[in-house]
Amino acid sequence: MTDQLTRLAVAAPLPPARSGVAAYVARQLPELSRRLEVILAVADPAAVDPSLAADHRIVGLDELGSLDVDAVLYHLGNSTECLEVARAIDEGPPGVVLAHDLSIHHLVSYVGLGLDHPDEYAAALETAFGDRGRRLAELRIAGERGEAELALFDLVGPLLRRHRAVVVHSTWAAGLVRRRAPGVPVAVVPHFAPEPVPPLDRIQLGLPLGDSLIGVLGNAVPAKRPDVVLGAVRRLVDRGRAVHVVVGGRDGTDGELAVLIDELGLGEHATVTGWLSDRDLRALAGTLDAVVALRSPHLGESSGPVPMTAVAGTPLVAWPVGSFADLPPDAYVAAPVGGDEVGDLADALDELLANPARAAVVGAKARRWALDELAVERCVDRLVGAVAAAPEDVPDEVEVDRPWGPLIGRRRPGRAVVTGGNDDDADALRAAGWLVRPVAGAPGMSEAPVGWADLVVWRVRSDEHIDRAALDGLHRGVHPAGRLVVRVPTERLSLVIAKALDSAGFGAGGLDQLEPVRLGGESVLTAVKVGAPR
Amino acid sequence: MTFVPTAELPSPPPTGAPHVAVSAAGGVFPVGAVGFWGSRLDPDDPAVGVIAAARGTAVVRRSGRVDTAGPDAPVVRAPSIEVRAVRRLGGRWWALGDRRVVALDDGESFGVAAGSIDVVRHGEGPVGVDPSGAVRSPDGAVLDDPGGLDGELLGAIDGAEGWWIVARSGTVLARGGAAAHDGVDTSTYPHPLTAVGPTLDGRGLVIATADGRLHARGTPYPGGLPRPAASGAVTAVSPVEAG
Repeated sequence: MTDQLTRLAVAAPLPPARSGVAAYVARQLPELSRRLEVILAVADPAAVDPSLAADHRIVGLDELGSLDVDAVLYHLGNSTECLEVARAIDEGPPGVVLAHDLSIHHLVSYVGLGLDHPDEYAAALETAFGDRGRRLAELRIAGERGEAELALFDLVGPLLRRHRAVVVHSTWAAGLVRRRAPGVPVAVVPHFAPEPVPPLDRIQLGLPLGDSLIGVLGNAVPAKRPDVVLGAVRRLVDRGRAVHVVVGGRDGTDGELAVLIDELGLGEHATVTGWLSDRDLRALAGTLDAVVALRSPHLGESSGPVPMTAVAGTPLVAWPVGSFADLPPDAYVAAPVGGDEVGDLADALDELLANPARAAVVGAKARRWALDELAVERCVDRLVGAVAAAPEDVPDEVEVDRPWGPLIGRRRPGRAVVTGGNDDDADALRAAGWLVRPVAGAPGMSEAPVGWADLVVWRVRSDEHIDRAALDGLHRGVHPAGRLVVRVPTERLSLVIAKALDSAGFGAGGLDQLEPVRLGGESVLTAVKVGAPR
Repeated sequence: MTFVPTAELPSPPPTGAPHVAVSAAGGVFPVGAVGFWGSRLDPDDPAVGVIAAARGTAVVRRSGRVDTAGPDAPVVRAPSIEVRAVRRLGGRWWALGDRRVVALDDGESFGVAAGSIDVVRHGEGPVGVDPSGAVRSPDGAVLDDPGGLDGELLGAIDGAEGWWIVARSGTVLARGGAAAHDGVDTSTYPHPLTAVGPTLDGRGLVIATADGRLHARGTPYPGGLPRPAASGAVTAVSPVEAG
């Protein structure tokens, strides 16, 4: 541990960068500066908000190695604003990494492929995943670029393993770090709650005065499942409830959000604000009647909007998975997972909105929890403690037998059983060495329930081939993290299945037999169960 | 070794200025960094134009009705005409009706030639464009004839210099000193063209196709709809007005 921690270098994006990490660091800085002498390291010191520059010494990231400090605290995020800091984590002096996100594949993919550095992208994947990573890189370089792989093949392991310690915001994230960087100490420091600010005037946002406002806060990326939230709002409207959904943040779905709003006929019941400042987001949290926080797949992200919502006293509805599992049970409404997601969320919201007294109690308990446990002073104390407790040296390299983590949940190893989408698919899979489970009485998988499966993969040519209503029924009983819809060729489907099974801790036994197989049809369901066939 | 690729981030980001598209029934689709402030679907009164601000939109209907949404929706005077097209000329928005073009800010109006289906600037003010792409004075005299437009006229877009004539076949003709831009090759991109819109700087144009895509010409690619909209094909696309 650090004998005397008095001088700390903090490497992070800072305002005016439009990044949740930047807002987090800026908000925490006054408290941190009361305890330690803080030197800020950023990609471009001249670009930092002048109000921060006036009170702090700010240096370039390239100066980190020559600073006279007791420790370096890096903030790792997954957005382009975090790119230079990620490079410093990769190459700079060993320190403590506060990991706000445990994938960073999005970032590496954007830089490596989006900006045409394929060789470096391939090297990054090979470093993280060996031969399988190289094969995946080749496919993505060739243009087959889906979203599922970004979640399945996270890239934090090589970054974290060269540092003294890691800090994360949730127990769930800590579990992932232990798998990806075994031997590196990991501490959990909850995401602090910011000070509440007065709510916004609804008229300021052009919001209907009489409707119940349901919010989704922060950038609306697909993993926040805006499709489920919008579907639930549609059902509430159909039930005659006066509701309006407010997405407080940028559309991170490449336009899918507006198309979905249009398809569901929610044009008069929805608002997407675009990017909001930290203060405006906090004000919006207090304006809403309920906030929904869903996430699948979960990449270990911390959720700034959750403590923001809690301290505002606004009731929160969430799936009790990933980091949300750390929430006190009485401080939020847990929407059921694994069933009719849209219907269950609609029911949870309906019940909450119909019972203002209950909503008030949930909000009040969340606020009490936030004020007591998530006070910025308390969280900064814990963060400083974690940095001080980090070993002086980088822990010895621990061989990473399987560096990827429990995306679905660890279960006993066994052979994989696969059901193909139709007889031809089943024959092809069987020929490739899989045990194939026949589905009695079902002419095709599209009509067969797959609740028995640990992993369900839909391979589709385009979204128009997805029958979402059918999926809701078929997926009943399958953990949300085990449901994948991918737009990949057959070759990449094999990788996705193999990686997902490895992630789940099923072991690689039998997977080596998995070779590219030709599957018939445009839309193919592959359901995987590990263990003996039933 | 370096684990994180070394490429420099482009500055500014590799996307064009934000635009807003509107579908036939009035569905509104923000493209790029702009919010969604609401839409009103009305299949019986097609949307023919959209004016977009950072925090609001105004959708102009065939009947002349204007549906606004958002806290800072553009202030638009509803034109008391049946509207064929809504165009941006010299930084102002105009509605084209039968023999008349009306400014949507103050109601100023000009006569245009009978049979005009679009409008551009020629000389001092707005003049009509006929289905062949010819620009005509209010009395019907031909002021400019592109000649041999291969297919039905999709629309005409006024530029900082000159204008562009866009055919449904994908051809883009630069006229009046406008810079030449490629069209849309519908032999390799087999989706019908459905709308065309301007850019703020008047240097290019944006063409919408039936699959929801936008095609930028003379301007950075702004993005597009990920798939066709349920409320109909895109009938108008406009840049988000600054400020």
